[in-house]
Amino acid sequence: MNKNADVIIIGSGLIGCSTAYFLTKSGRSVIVIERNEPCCGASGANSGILGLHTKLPGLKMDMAIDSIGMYRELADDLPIDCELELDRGCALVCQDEQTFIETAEECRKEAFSRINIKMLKGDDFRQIEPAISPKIYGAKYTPEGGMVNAMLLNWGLHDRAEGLGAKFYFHTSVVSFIRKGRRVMGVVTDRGDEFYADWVIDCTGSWSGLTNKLLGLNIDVTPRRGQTIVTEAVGPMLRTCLADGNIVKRKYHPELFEGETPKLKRLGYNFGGDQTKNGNIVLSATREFAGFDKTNTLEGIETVLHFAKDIIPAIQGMRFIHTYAGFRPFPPDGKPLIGIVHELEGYAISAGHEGDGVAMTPLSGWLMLQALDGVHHRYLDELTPDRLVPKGSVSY
Amino acid sequence: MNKQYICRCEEVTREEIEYAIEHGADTVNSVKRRTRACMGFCQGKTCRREVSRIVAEKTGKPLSEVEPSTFRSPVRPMDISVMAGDYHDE
Repeated sequence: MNKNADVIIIGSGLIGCSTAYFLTKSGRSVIVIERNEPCCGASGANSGILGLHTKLPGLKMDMAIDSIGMYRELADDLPIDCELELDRGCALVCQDEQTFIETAEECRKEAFSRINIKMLKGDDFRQIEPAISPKIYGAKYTPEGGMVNAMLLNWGLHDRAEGLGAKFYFHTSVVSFIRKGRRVMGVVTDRGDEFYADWVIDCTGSWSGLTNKLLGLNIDVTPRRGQTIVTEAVGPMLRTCLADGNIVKRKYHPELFEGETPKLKRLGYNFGGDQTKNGNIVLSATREFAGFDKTNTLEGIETVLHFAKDIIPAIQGMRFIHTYAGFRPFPPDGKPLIGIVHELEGYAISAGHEGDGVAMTPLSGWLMLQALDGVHHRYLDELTPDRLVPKGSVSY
Repeated sequence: MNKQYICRCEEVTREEIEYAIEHGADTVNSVKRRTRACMGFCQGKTCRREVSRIVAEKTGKPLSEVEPSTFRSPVRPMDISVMAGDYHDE
């Protein structure tokens, strides 16, 4: 059977395009099939923050450090300026003394020595970030980390990969896989086309659960909606990328929030704030399970603004001009899936990056190249999709 | 040669929009994301239709088939102080 390409990638978001970029650069022929267009999933609805301040020591922090370390080289190789800033600084805001003490305790762990962080009390922190409310007790601050324009990055990766020979098919959905026993041979699209390749790679993010169901795999990646608000452009006001200290707790110890109101629990509110190059302030976000409903809700907007004003009071003198919502791809066990599915032949997945997709963009593409080249990496051991595909669970 | 500004809020020229379309952005949404057209203060009230026209022209799609960019709240700029004070716990 003649193949159309070495690799078929499903999905042209950040992860799909990063994977296409690395594989095309390695000399492979690549086809990317995209049901809509780039930036339609989380890639077009995030805050663009490349942060280490919200990571606890461990796998995720290690990966974030490595991936952010790859950003400059990647960005320099793209034909579009993706407005990468690596020296913005990031701060985890501690609203009260209790949170400050707990956060400081966490920082004493050895792994934190990998990044340059310091705990700053309110007045010291306000030297760096004057817009912070006087009621804030302090912050965990690092001068490292920054932001990127994720949409320009997505398109930049697309342009570069396409320029090197990758073929993109937009507004085209995969409706089924072509299989011969364990071997995944290719895909069938909704335009009636069949594409054959040595490898098919799922990079469909929040839709990954649905994509993999077509193969009989039960990998439950679900959409977790985040609602975000954009203010009018103002003069320079925020220097750093901000997050609320409770973000980390809420993500890693949800049981501590059992006592909070049903509404807040449902919305999973998760403050983030930063000012873009254009002067708009981006205030995020909820963290809700709402299926594939991508609309903004009144309660979502009210909640984000209500809590954001306690951290940045000056926003109350501003107007907001836009809101958006997107889905974070939520993996069943809290870790992304990157690597080959060994219960099949010729199939790999790179999905489920919930909230970390932008930071993980370079590393994800690079790791898939290692996987296809048969090069071992400890991250691939940790992130292998095999962990969610029990032996014998796939019928041939 | 004068530049033709299509999006006045974000100062996006016709040339930039056409470049985006030539590089795969064949909808108003994708043009918006690549160029910032329609992302400014007026959120496309002024230029949205012209951007649609350029997309139709360059892609050969009839204008009636060029979908508008996604509409989102607020309809016009809104005071944050009004919304921020309206939160109620359940």
